[in-house]
Amino acid sequence: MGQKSPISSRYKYGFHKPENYLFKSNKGLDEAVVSNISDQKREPRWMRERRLMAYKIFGMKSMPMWGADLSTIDFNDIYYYIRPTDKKANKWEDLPPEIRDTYDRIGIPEAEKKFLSGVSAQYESEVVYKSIQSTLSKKGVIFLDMDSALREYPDLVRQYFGTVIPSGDNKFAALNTCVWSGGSFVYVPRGVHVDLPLQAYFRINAANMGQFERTLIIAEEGSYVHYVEGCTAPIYSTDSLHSAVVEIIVKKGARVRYTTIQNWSSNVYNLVTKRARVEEEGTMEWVDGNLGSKITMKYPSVYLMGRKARGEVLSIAYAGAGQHQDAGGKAVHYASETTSQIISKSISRGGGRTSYRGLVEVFAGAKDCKSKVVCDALILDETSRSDTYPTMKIGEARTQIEHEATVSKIGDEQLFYLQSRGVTKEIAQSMIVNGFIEPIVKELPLEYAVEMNRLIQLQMEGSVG
Amino acid sequence: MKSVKTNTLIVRTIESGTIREDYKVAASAHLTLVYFVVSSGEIDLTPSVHLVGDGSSATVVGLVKGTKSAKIQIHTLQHHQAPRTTSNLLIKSVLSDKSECIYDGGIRVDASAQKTDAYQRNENLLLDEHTKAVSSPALEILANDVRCTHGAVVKTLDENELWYLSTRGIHKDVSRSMIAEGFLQSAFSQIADSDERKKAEAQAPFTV
Repeated sequence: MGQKSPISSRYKYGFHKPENYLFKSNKGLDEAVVSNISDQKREPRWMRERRLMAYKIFGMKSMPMWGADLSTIDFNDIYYYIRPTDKKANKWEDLPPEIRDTYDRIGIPEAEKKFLSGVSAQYESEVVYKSIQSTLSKKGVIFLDMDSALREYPDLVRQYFGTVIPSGDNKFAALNTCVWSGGSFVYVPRGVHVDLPLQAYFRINAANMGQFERTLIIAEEGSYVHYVEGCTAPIYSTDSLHSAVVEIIVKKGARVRYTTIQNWSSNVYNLVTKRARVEEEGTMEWVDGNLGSKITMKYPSVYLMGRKARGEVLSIAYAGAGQHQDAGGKAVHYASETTSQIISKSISRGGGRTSYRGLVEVFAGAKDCKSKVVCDALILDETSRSDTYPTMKIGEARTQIEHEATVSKIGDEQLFYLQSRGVTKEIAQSMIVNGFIEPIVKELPLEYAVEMNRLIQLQMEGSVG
Repeated sequence: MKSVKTNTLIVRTIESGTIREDYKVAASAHLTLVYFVVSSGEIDLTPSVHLVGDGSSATVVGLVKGTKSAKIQIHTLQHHQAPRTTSNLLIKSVLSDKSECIYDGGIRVDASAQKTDAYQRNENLLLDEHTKAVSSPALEILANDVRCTHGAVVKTLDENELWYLSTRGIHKDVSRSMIAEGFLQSAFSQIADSDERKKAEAQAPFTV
């Protein structure tokens, strides 16, 4: 197993011959590499031009002067486009033992395990996926990988691509725009409620787990969709740099929830730009969990453009040895009576570092906006670190903005109480940590919540010493 | 850098200019720093408090009144370098006309400063439409046995409070300044020592 390429599923649609797909760009990035990616995908000319323009912008933009230490990223030592199977381990046995062990212990079913670890060419829930697809298409919902969407719905993609996060937004958005591959495209027509969460890993296409995913979600007036990306199980990747862009358009009265559980292996730089544009009376909710990677920099944003638009960011970060989770959220109030809420919980342990970084901005004329930011951090041992870097820029008097943050350790009294009830210190600690993140975990779909709790328990093992 | 070796109260009134002040607080000493910032011009105020002695503590209180096109920048640092140190900071601003207050402050807790208790809060009351507040309170915590809390608020006059006062026959302009004064006045409660608090209140350059 593992030899059969995931192309077989894509091939059915007839867009690529397998030999075309056996392609790996040269290391490093230049115009030829970018053109080559576009050629390989047989993209329309405008996309190719978009990529080349983004390449120029990438060259001009400087690295962020703030945040995590990115000095060790060598842009010339990266393959920017690799056929998906090339970067997956071929056998279950080839995966690092700690990752296999985690899968076993969180209790992920065998088929999912293989898919998640990239050793499986075909996910066994293909049948499930197909039945979901047919229900969706009856309602007019489009749920495809981004490459297919560009082929099948070029006009829709062209209309919205890069409108929320232009290439010039930041260096990594430019990088993503010039080399993107994979990611999801979701279009929900007016008034349609998608009852089941759309899960990225239902899609058979392994390219979903790509390095430079590009996701675009459009929710038309009055529609609702919940999109779930990632999974609690660690995703083993040999790539050192992951830089995704997620753009969401929430139209009048629509509601979109986007849930991410990120658990990349600990060699990965995860530098992601996620932003939603919310129109009148629309609601955007980001639920963002960061457990893995070496360095994550990710601040899901809501741009509240229409009156009474609402945005919410719920964020959990866990940093263990050698990890820096620089996460948070942004709420930008452009219109009157808009509201936002950012709740962040972070845990650092074993020398890990968590940073909350956030922005709340209210422009002059956007009257009667409300925003509340609450950040709580737990530091579990003396080698770990926690930072909080919020900014509030308020240009309108008629407003109500609050921020509060607390950093502390697990209370001795709490531990003592649990221990007096016969609970070991280790279990007591993980119970308290699970309780600490509970307000966010309860927002996750059930199976994720269960896995998340188990994972935290697992991470906490051996933390008493 | 000024050294503070015993319990000390310093009250300063600042109307313009660029001011940098660094205080080093020795073991068991307490520093109370009170700033009255009253301005219609430009101010750049940077007080830093370094808690270098075991068990040292500091209280920093700022009462800010910005009028006309004042641009008031305040940068604070509460640097905990020794164990069992406590710091408590509150900056309150009332902004009218076209004034703006830009606050950025940091609490830094070194790995050596276990059992730190640090607090930092910035509140801004915007009275007029064209006022502006920017607040960036930051925490950098490298020790684990600590309690650090910060908060920030930006708000305007509460319509309910104004309405209540108007039902008592108080004119809107009067109630506006009553609310603003009450808002600033409450900052004094951060000063735990009642003698120090009275001394500080007595030196206020405006009625609070």
